[in-house]
This record gives sequence, C-alpha cells and structure tokens, in this order.
Amino acid sequence: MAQLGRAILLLDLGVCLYAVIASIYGARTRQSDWVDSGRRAVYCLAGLSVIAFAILEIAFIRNDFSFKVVASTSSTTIPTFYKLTAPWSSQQGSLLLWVTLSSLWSSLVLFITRKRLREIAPYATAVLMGMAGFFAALAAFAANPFATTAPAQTPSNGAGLDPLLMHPSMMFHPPMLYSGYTLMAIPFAFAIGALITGKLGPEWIRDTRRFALAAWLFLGVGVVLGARWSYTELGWGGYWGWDAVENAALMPWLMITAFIHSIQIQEKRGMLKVWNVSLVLLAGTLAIFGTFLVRSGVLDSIHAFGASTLGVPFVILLGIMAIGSIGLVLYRREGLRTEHRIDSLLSREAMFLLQNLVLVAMVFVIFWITLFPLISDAITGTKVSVGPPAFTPFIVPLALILVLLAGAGPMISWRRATVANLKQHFIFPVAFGVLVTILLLALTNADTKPLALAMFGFGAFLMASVAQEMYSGTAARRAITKDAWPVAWVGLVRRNRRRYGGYIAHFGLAVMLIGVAASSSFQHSRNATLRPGQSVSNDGYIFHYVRPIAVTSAERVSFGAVIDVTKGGKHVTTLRTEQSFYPSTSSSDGIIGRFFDSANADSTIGLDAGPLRDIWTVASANLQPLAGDINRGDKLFAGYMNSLLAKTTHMTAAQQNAYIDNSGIYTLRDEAVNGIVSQYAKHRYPIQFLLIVAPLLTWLWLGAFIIALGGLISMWPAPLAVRRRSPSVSRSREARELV
Amino acid sequence: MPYVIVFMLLVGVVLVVSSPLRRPLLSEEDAADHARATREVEDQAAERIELEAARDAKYREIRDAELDHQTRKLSDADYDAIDSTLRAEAIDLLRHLDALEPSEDATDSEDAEEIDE
Repeated sequence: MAQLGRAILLLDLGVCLYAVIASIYGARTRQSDWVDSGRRAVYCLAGLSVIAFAILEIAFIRNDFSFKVVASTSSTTIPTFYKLTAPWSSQQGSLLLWVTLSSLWSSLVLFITRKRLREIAPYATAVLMGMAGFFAALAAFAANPFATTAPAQTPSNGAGLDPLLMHPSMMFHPPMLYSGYTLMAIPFAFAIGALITGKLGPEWIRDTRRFALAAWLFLGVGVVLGARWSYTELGWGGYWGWDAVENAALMPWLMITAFIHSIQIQEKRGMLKVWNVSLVLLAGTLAIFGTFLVRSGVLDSIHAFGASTLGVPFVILLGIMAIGSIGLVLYRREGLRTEHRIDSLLSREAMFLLQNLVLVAMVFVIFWITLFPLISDAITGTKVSVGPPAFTPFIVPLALILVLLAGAGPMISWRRATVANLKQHFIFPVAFGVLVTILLLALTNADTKPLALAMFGFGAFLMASVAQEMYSGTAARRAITKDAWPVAWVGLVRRNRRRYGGYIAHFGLAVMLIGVAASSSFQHSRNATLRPGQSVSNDGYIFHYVRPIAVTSAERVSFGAVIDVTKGGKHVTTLRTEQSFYPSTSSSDGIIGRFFDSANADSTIGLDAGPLRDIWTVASANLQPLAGDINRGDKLFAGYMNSLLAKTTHMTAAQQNAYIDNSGIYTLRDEAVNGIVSQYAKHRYPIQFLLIVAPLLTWLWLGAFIIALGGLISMWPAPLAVRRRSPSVSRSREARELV
Repeated sequence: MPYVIVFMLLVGVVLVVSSPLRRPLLSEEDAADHARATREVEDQAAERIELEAARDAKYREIRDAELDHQTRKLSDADYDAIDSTLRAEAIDLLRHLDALEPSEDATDSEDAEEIDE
C-alpha cells in the first residue's frame, strides 16, 4: 500500500507538470483542446490525491506501523476519531492534505468557470498546478508520508499522538486552515492570470469572489478553533498569545478581509484595481509565508512542526511569488489605471478605503513584530522574544478605528452622502454608544481601562448601526410586501445576502471584540497552592479544594482536583481539573518513570462558561513527593528486566518479547504504577492552581460564530433562477422595465 | 499488485486528459476550419456568459441603489441620477446580449426579480 501511495504521489507530480504545460500551451496557441486537457488533468489530480490520502487514512485505522508516520503519531490505544485525524498532525500527512485540498478546490473553480474567463483560466490553472506541484514534490521527496520501515524493524506499537493534539478543536483546526490557504490560492491564481492576459476588468473578481469569501471563512474558523484549543487545552488561561504561527494565519485573513470589502468598489465603480490585485497577491503570498513559518522551524512555536529541511524550498517559492507579483503589477500598471476617483470623503467608498488602510496597517505591524526575533538574531546574534506587550499598543487602537468604520460604513451611501443624511442616520447609533459608555462609567469600574471602555462604546455604536440598518431595510420591504416583520426581515436578508450577511458579520465583530476587551482587561487571575480542604478567593468567588483526583487508565495517569466555587455563600459551580501524563517511549525514563513524564502531559481545565463570565482553573500536580517511590520502582524493575533478558540471550526477538510478556512483569508494573498513584490520593499533597475569572469571554466565541454565520449568508449562492424559453422576448421586456 | 493499480491509474489519467485532444483525422484545411469555428462558438458563448454576469451585477447595483433610497441614504435627486445611469448601463448590456446570435443550448435569460447576490 505504501508503494502505491508513493507511486500516486509521483503521478501527482507528473499530472501537475502536464497541467501547467498543457494550459500555457493551449492559452498561447489559442487551442482550447489543450486548455481543456490541462483542466482535466486538475480533475485527475483531485482523484489521485483523494486515493493517496485514503491509503494513508487506512494505514492509520489499521495501525499499520510499517508506515513511519503512523508509528510516530499513532498507537493502538488512541481513539479511532483521533486516528482518523492524526494524519495531519505530522509534516508529511499535512503536506498530502494540502495537495488534496488544493486539487479539490482547484477542480471546483475550474469546473465552475469552464465556459468563462477563457483567456484567464488557463494561466490560473498553471499557477494553481504549479503550487500544488510544489507541495506534491515536497511530499514525494522531502517529507514522504508513505515512507516505511523494514519488516524486521516495524514496531509493535506506535509512539502515539501528542497529548496536546488530542482535542476536538485541534483535529478540525488544520483542515480548516489548509482549506483557507488553498482557497486563497484561487483568487491569487486568477489575479495572476488577469495580469498576464491584461483582462483587468471585474470578470475575474466576480467569478472568484465566493472563493475569496470561502477562504476568509475557513481561515477564520481555523484561527478561532486554534484560539479555542489554546484556551481549553494549553493551560495558560489565554486564547491568543501573538505566537508567530497564530500571527501567520491572522495576517492573510486580515488581508483577505480587506480584499472582500474593496472588491465591491471595483465592481461598482471600477476603482482600486491596483489596490485589489495587490491585496489578493499579498494575501496569497502571506498564506504561503504562514505555511513556511509553521514548517520551517525558523521561529519557535508550540504550533510549529519543528525544525525541518523545508525552509529553503519555501523561501524560493515565496521569492518567485513576490517578485512575480510585483513584476506583473508594474507591467500592467497602465491597464490598472482608472479614470474614476472617489467623489467624496463622505461616501461608502471612502469608508471602505479607510477600513482597508487600517487592516493593511495591522498586517504591517504584525508582520514586522513577528519577524523581529529573526531580524534581531541576524543583526545581533541574539533572538529576542516578543509577546503581547509588543503588539497591543498598535493593534488595539487600530481595532478601535476598525470597529468605528464598520459601524459608519453601512450608514453612508455609495458615491456621496450629504451632511443632513449623515445626521439622520448617525443619531441613534451614536446616542446608543454614548449611553452605553455613560452607563458603564456610572455602574462599573470600566474607567480604569480607557481603551476597553472605548471598545465597549464603539462596539455598542456598531451594534446599533447594524440594528438600525436591519430595521430600516425591513421597514422598506414591509412597505412594499406588507409582510409581518420577521417574514420581511428574512426576505430582506435572502434577497440581499451579500449586504446583510456582511452586516451580520459586522455585528459579530462587535460582539467578539467586546468579549476580547472585557476578558483581557478585567480578568482576575490568581495562582494559589492549596491542600485539600483549603480555600482561596478570587474576584469575589471562593475556590475550595474539595478532594484530589488520582486515576489510571490504559492511556494515561491523571492527577487533579475537584474544586467547589461559591459566591456570597451560594454554590456557583463544581470544577474538575486534571493533569494527565501519557507514557513516554524514551527508555531513559525508566520502566515506572515513563508513566510520570511531565514532558508528555496535557491539562484538562476546569471550566464553567457563562454569558457574563468564565470561571477557569487548571491544576499542576507536584509529583516531587513521588520521586522516591518512582526511582525505587525504576531500579527494581530494571533489575527484574535485566534478569529476564539474561535468560533470553539465545532467543529470537519475537521469542524474547513473548517470554517477557508471559513473565508477568508488565502486570506487576501496572500494579506498581497504580500503587504510586493511590499513594498520591491518600497523602494530602498540595497542588498549584491557576484560577481565572474572565468577564464576557463567551462573547468572543459567540461573536466568532456570528461572523461565520454572516460570512456563510454572504456567500450563499442564489436560488436557481426562473428560466424562460425565448431569450430575446424576455430581454425586450427587461429593457422596457428598465426605461 | 500495487504496480498493476498504478498502471491502471496511469492509463485512466492518460485517457481523461487526452480525450479533448483525440478527434477524427481531418485534412489540415478542415482542421483549421473546424478549430476556427469551434473557437468562434466558444468565444461567443463566453461573451454571452460574461454579458449575462455583467447584467446580473448591474441589476444588483440597481437594487442596491433602490434600497439605499428607501432607507434614506440617498436623496431623491441623487437616487434619480444614479438610477438613470445604472438603468442606461443595463439597457446597453441587454442590447449587446441581443446582438449576439442565440446559442444552440438556449442560454435563457433569468428573471431579474430572482437574481440575488
């Protein structure tokens, strides 16, 4: 099977090469047969890649440890769900996933546009297949998912999945991110095609807009899933650390957010052609740059695959993309000019442009601060680390401006708005924002955090602006249809998906950023070391350590605590938090000690999430008191094992393993581990807790959901149109209706 | 066995990608005529699709302007000017569509009222 998989990878590479050559040849010689052939090659690539990925999945499900990647990331004891998703936890499997997703999305867009964009599509095909071929080549030659070990060296069990990755969010996070990245390649490729052919009208944008939106949606979901994993798994209590790899996913997302807004200006007014094409080229390049950061190991990150040899190929690809993009834009700069100008600063075009500038400024800030460790290393020889304090002084003010613009933009018409119109539309949202601010000043301590207070006020302004738009649009529809309010609202959104889907997303942005501001600025965090029966207070809540948890299972050993939380004498919630230790495969850890290896541990946090606050806790078990028993156990069992091995010198490896299995040493080992674990429960060892009370943190996830919902509505295709049999008759009727 | 499967996949790929390239043998003159005719038909079909997409986009703009007017973002005077321009552009697109020869598969126009984004 591994041979088949590798052969398919090589076939993938050949198909990619053929698709590039056939498409370009067909375009240059205006032979549509060759273009069609190139497109069919893309379909073949999709089919082949799915087969190759299925082979890898089957290997994981069947526990075929002859596959090196299965042996290094899976084991017989991990649940089937995680076996299915383990392929993309490795460099090799994730590269294959990239090729598969890229080929599927490319097939879809080329099928949809097979009768359109006839001059642009072949070059777009060449670009897409060039990129897919790059990843296929990496998978085939540098990080082969189908590499195997010799039968004599095939282990009987795998190393297992990193415990940190055994989390539902983390299993969907990579496919979402990779879908976002590969979808982002589509508008990139069509932009390149448009620049090469000089077809710089809105056609290529119209046909790829939904793919840009889909890229935005998938990448956004991927980013939020990563944040959710960080919050519920990593045990530091936060959801965003401005980690290099987090930033690497955020930057293309911000760029594509700018693009999906500013393309509306090009569609309506024919303006910003240079800007739009530059945005989409940058977004595509940043998507590859993010992949480079994850896979090359140049920057330290918990999200990265670690050091690898893939850095140089990625740098070459990035260089080609950057230089090629700049060169093409310069080459076509005359064709990208527009006669139109923005009519007025009081116009939706101007608001969109300002919003774009803010988003690009955010990307600029994030990019340079993220790279600063590399730059400092190159110049001074010391890699300086950067964290949130480096980002927030820049990002927070920009986010505030963004929220204001998101609220103001929809209330202003295209081309120009009058001052009287502005006054009429701004009164309610501004008043609401001011009212919320005053109430917060009067009733809370929000004045201690002025930037957070500003976000609350601006967020309220944005929410009111969206509500006003929904109300006025629904009222206008009701005036015509006489429908009930809910029916009219649904009809309004259905007939204007792009606009009102966008408004819903804006509303979600306000909810999310209010949650971010509240949870980060007004969080109460406390470290406490407690014995069972002891209590500590945090933000008015009393955390009482009820009893320890110490359990063993086939997969892990867990130590933790049950915590009762009360406020004002009333029970609020009971939390259960654990730190789980998974057996390591390192022989240096000892037969007993490998079950207590902190390098192989993860945390189960205790979380009570509510609409107004989250109560979060994590326990760090101190196993030092057990060290004596563990060391004694290691020595004892090492001696026993050596005595067994001494009796098996004349046996084959398989006979030796069977002898040791039948000796009962592993049963005794498990009893010893259970005994040590139960000792922990009996003694009242202190545990260190991190206790956090974070207001409105749930709004972050709720806001993200609303943004995703708005995006989905915005990109949802129109219902099948009613078709009539006589084209020219209906066009005449339409023309009469338009006059 | 794997090699047999790979061979079959290779044959399948070759058949699929070569299918547009396999056609009955024609004389050079006939082949050129056929290619030219095919290109003309395809170009016209592509132009029709582009015009229809542009028309649909123009209808959306008309509806957007109408909604802006109904929600009082546009004054009557501004709306009248913008609406006239957009409708004139839409009529121009319909005229271009009318000028194209009808296609064999009858790419019918769509009910303007049903066009959504």
